[in-house]
Amino acid sequence: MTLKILIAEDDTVCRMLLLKILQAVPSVEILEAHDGEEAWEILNEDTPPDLCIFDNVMPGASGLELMERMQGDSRLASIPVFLSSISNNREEVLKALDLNAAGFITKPINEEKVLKMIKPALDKLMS
Amino acid sequence: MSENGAAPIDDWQIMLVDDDVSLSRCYEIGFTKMGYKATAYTSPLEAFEAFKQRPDAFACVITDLCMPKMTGLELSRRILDIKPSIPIIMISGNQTREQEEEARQTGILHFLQKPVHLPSLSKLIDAIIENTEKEIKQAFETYKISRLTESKRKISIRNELENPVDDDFLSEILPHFFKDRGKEAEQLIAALKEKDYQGIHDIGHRIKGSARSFGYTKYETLGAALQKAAKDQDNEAIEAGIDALLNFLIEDNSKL
Repeated sequence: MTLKILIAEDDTVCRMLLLKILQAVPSVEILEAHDGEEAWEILNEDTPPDLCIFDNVMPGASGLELMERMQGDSRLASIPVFLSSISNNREEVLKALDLNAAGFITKPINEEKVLKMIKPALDKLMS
Repeated sequence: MSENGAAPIDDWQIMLVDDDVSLSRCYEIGFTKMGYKATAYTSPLEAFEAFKQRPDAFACVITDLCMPKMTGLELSRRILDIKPSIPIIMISGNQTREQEEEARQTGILHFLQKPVHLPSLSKLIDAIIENTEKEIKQAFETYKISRLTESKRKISIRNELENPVDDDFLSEILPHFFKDRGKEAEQLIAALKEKDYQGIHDIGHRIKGSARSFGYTKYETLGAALQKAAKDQDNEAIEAGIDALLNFLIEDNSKL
């Protein structure tokens, strides 16, 4: 079984960092989006991703906006979403929790932190 | 001659040649910001063609030494064949004494070591273009002192990072990081002209986020400073932020 992970991040370096970390995880296919709208297009394809990582500030649609849209779509509402951002802004965190965020990845991005955060969700999806 | 100089800048332009795309773009933005009319070329062959077409359009040529297809030395030779009086400034990482001697025999009289310290360069360029020997000598001395005093050149990028990734990966991401920041320098200049403070704030946020993702603290601090300056609508601080960004990029690109 291969799981699809969507990374939506407008910054090249952050995207490359996440990609490198997640490519090392077995049985995972990575989909990349460079902005919110591209992410939304991917989410609306026939087979949506199994897990998402969204940057909160992106052109097109922010991570939170995407989560809001997903909550309004029964096909996408249960996909676990991790929100990445520079800091844990209280308002942002509360809104993300309201929208069922699976977790928060704060920068700097490091392998241990990202895997520790995402692994339980991946294991659950694999089982 | 810069904006403050005697001659109108529309009369001529500076030709900048460096095969490194981000670096040549930074030079072009930096020189334009200083008030010069400057055109950057990443291909020495194209630069030569442009010179051949309009030799009188250029008052000075600033070229990198090591470039593929045609070295800075060869380019200078060809340019000097067309216009022997044109001043050429050769920029190089570490030219050997033989190379410098060969360049001098070719007719290149001025040499700058990488990384170039842009803010101190304006007086030197003016003196070289005006070709006043005494002033060139003085300007060179002043330039060298400013460059050494104001830059901490010995720090490698890896040592500046708080969250270092492995070396191979670092080499892979840095060109992207600098390329994106180069584009943002241009966007910042345009946004400041338009007084688009929200745009400047967003760019500051992007720089901060990108830099923080792998612990490049000085860019992160710069991004935060730009955000604050945009929030305060402090044009002077925004200008200072753009200058700092260009200087970082010129200095750090040379370390790749």
